[in-house]
Amino acid sequence: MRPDPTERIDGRAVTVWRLAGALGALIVVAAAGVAIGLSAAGVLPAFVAATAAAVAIVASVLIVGVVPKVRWLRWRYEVSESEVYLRHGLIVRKRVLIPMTRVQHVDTTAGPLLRAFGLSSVTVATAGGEHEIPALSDEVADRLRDRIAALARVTEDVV
Amino acid sequence: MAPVTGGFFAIAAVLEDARAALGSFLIVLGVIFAGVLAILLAWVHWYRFTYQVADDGSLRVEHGLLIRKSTRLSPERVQSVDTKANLLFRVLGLVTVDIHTAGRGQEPEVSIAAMTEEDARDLAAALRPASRGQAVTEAAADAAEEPPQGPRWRLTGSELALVAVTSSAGLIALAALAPLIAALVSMLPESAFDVEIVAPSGTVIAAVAGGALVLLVAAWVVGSVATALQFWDFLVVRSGGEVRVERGLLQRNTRNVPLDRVQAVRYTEGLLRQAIGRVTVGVDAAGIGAGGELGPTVLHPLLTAAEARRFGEVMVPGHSTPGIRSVPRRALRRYVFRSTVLPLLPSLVVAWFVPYGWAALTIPCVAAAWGVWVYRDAGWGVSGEVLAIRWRSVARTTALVRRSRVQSVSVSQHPLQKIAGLATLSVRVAASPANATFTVRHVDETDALGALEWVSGGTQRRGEPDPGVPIEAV
Repeated sequence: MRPDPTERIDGRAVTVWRLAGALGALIVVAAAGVAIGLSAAGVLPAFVAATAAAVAIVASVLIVGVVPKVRWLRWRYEVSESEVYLRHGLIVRKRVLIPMTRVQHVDTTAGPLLRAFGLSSVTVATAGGEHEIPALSDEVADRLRDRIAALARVTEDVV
Repeated sequence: MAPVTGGFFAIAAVLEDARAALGSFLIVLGVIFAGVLAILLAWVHWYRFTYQVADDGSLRVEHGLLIRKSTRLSPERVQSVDTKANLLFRVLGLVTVDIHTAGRGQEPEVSIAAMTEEDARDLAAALRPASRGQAVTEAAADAAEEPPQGPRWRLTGSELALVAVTSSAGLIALAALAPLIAALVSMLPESAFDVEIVAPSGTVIAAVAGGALVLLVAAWVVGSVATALQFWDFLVVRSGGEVRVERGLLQRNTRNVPLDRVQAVRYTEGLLRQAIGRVTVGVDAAGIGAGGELGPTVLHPLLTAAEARRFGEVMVPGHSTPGIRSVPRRALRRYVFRSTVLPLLPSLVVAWFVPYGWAALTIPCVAAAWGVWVYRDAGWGVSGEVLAIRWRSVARTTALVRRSRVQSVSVSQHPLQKIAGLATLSVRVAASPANATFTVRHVDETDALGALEWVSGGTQRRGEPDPGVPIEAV
């Protein structure tokens, strides 16, 4: 059986995802706050407020505490001469294999949050769609992009 | 005072008449002006529209009066040249030529209206790149000179009738119109529903069932007629490295599919066609599939399984169907679960709260049976350079992809699949208008990983050009 891809993405990805998760948690907590306020005013029954608070706490712990770490643990990639091999996925675990000869172009991109941490994502595009390796350090991402581009250039593309 | 008032009214009446006359005169003038303007604009469009095949073989198109647009197209970039002719054009012996390139999706890069059929043929020949299929340059050149003599299939009258009545086009259109019909029903006055339903009376049930039946039959008839018009005088010819499909009564379409653009071959069995043992053969091709047609280009709408095999060998060589293994027995419960879980809850609610609601429980039962059926059709297989994936959505489809056409392959597992040692296998190819992904659910985990190895194995010969499909001259 094919061994798992060898490379991990940058450890700072966990922090970035925690921050992004915190933004989502803020919305959930705000919604719960509204529910609690309304039940304190007597508009909603108390059990609604209790449920909302519980949901907000569990969701926040999950999207800030658990998900980023597990997601990072699950993310692996490997670039060999002949293919790009990815393995990721939190609940649905996915392995993707992209033959190097099918790669059309490679990009690095970084939003403000990634940039603040000196991270970039590498996007591998084929004629059949795009695949992203998220959150690599800028140097690693640049090197990887150039390497894939060089390997993909060797063969002329058919499509 | 009276005469004065009378005179005043008379003048007013005359003025009124004059104004009315002026009004209608202006309207007539406006219509004439608009007509002349339309003709003038059409003439300017025609006058300014020029095309030319330059000495280097590239196509140059210039058009526009105020904004002048100039397009240059080298034959290497041309993916396909389609022609179409509506009723008026057919009477006049004219066609519209659509030239497709890879980057433009649905819209043709260049569309030249009102060419004579001869000019259109010359243009298509000029745009056939010399590099395309070196093995067949001579055959292709011959094919361009004279009407191609390659293997061909036509539809006889009775076959056309079968294609029409087994078409699901009408039912699909009905499904698309369902929200509209629902909106119309909701616009009916309240009083129409002012019936107290204690137990559904025989007449109400009969009226609803009758209405639904009429709607279904009407949709089926309309869909059949539309399909018959589309596939009228259907002809498919293989000449050199191309397959040409001609069809249509009111609008005549011609599409050339170069074999080296074929990404996948599909054998589709709709419910009605499967019932009479017939298969539709189609291809997904890069940059082809425009013209409002979603999905693959139909190469033949109605063949028996044996005919389809022979047809495939001749028309799209290098795509012989590998033996297909069904998904393992333990996948059955996943398929039944998948098809039943959605309808189960609402029908339980209906069964509990609505009088006579227990009838709704038949829905999850039917869904479960459907799940068993979908399970039985799911499977995949590999042999040599070809991978086959078979699945059922409504129709049963078998997709064949050559290893060199696989853009990416993925194997995914959700926790329930993980427990059962199952996985979902997806293969992506490049095709227009949308990228095509072929998926088979709940295959054996180890087998699925074998598919990754198979795709990976094909990339070992790096540095060599794609072995491609040997295209022998025909």
